[in-house]
Amino acid sequence: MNAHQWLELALYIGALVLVTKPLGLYLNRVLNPSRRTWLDPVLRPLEKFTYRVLGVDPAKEHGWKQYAFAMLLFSLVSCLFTYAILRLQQYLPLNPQKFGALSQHLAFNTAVSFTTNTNWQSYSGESTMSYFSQMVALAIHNFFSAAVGIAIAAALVRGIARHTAQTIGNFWVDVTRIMFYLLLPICLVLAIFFVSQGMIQNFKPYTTAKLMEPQTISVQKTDANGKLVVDAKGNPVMENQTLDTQTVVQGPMASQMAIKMLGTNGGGYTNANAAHPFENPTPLSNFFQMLALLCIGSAMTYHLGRETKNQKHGWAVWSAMFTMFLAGVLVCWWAEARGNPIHQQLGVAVAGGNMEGKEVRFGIFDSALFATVTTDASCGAVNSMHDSFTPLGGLVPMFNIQTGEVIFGGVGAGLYGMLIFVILAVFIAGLMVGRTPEYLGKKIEAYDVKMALLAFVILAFIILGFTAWASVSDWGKAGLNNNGPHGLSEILYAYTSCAGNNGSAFAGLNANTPWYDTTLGIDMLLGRFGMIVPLLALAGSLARKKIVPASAGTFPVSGFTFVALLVGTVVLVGALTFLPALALGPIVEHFLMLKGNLF
Amino acid sequence: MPFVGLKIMLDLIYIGIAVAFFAAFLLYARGCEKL
Repeated sequence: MNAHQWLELALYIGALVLVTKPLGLYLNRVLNPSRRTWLDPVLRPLEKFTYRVLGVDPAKEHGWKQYAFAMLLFSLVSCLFTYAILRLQQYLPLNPQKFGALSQHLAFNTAVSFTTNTNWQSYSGESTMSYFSQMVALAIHNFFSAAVGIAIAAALVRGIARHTAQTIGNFWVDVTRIMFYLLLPICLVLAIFFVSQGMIQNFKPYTTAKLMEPQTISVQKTDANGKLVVDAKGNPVMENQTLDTQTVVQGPMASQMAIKMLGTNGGGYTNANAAHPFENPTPLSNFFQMLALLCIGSAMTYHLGRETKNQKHGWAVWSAMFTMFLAGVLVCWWAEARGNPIHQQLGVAVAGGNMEGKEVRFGIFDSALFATVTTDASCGAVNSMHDSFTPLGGLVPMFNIQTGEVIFGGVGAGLYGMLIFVILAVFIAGLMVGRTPEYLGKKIEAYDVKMALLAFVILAFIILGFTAWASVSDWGKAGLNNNGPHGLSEILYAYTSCAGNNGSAFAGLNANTPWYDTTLGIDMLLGRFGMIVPLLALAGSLARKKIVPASAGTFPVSGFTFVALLVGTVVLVGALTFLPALALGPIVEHFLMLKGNLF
Repeated sequence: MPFVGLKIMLDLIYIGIAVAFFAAFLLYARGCEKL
């Protein structure tokens, strides 16, 4: 924890603060179709043409049920479209490596994963996906799913801001405008910047390079049929292989990486994700990838304040997010910088902390910051292996996801997740003083609290339910590479990551099996749409309400008390729900590590 | 041929799972309205 690292943290926070207001103002214009943006002269004709082709009347707004139906229909069609591409990959163009079709369970898992903005990957991109699949099946979904998330948040904010209204916006208009005015222009600039840093963007076949020093490795022998050979006792029979060439990945990477980060998708072009030098070439690209991850989530809070005509409330929500962000970064950084005491006892400790699973280019701090940022957002990108973090360092990313990724969060998803906690916080405040809770002039009634709780409870139910099932099943345990509490953490992280639509992996879990692919796919569907549907119902309910004038007893939704109550609600609800599971996983592993046991 | 039949059947099962879940979400929306 040196001065240079503190300076980088300050720079990151400063950049995030600086970008929040201008991007929030622009976002506010994009999400209000009647308002003009500076891109209107170029994009307005294209926008109108799109509505004409789709047969959409942009002046006609949706009630919450129509909005939910349009969102579900759009997601289903795009999910089936992706499934078809992945299953027919070998017949489609731009496949110089001649990759075959994905198995049915992997195609299902991947199609659901990208539809739900999760980007969980049970495959290695560079050895599975053709350029066509990367661009048409996956990168397009990165835009679609991000736009859907922002649209849902926009609809909820409209529900809060409007009164005695029956509609919450037009889903097709929201998605079109977010794509054209927000995501595409920023991604264009970001992709060009990434290319300037050395990220690749081409359609060349993979390059075969001759190694300067051939390597001899020991691998398990295979028979003529390609099956692994074992001896009479069942032990693997090993043989030496000399490698003198290396295959170097090529392809349209920069265009995909821009939306991967901006849209908080996170699905890597390569298996190493943002730890790969092509996918994250320089410290500057690393910095801007992290900034791209949180900038829209941060700007959404400004949009909330602007739309509800209460900018102090927007900043209060931002402050609550920032407080939890800073706490997460500091704990994760401290745990990784402190390192593993067993290494220190053995005299093999690396100066500066735990370097296992980390890129030397990025080191402890940039790995800890990236891990915190990517799990604050619902992004699956990683520049280090979370499985190799110390138990407490690994607990931070997992807890970030378990809070519902409300710390700036995924694009849109972070704000709508946080607004659930805002509703719960004002409800708790109302209970404490014995009066009907109000939120920005709206009375929060039983129906609203039911919808808010339903949206949260579904996450807890599927994460803990699927983890428990996998932990005691043969199919669940078969995928583990580690036993004991670390093995439980691997399973818990997988179902947490998928339910929270994060997509980052703890690694160490072989999830490309029919059971894991199918159950994780269902986990992602329930985590995304099981939460969105009650949120839209909540938006519809809030939009219909009348405004009640504020009185002396109205709980203020800005200022220190509100921020403290909001942070307390998020942490306590998260802790109460997941602490027992965390105690059996990373917490007990931490104490066992201090006693000299590793898993 | 039986292998091809099995592959198509598996495709239909996974497509069916996706369609069934989205249909369930529509019913879920109706349930949310009445809750």
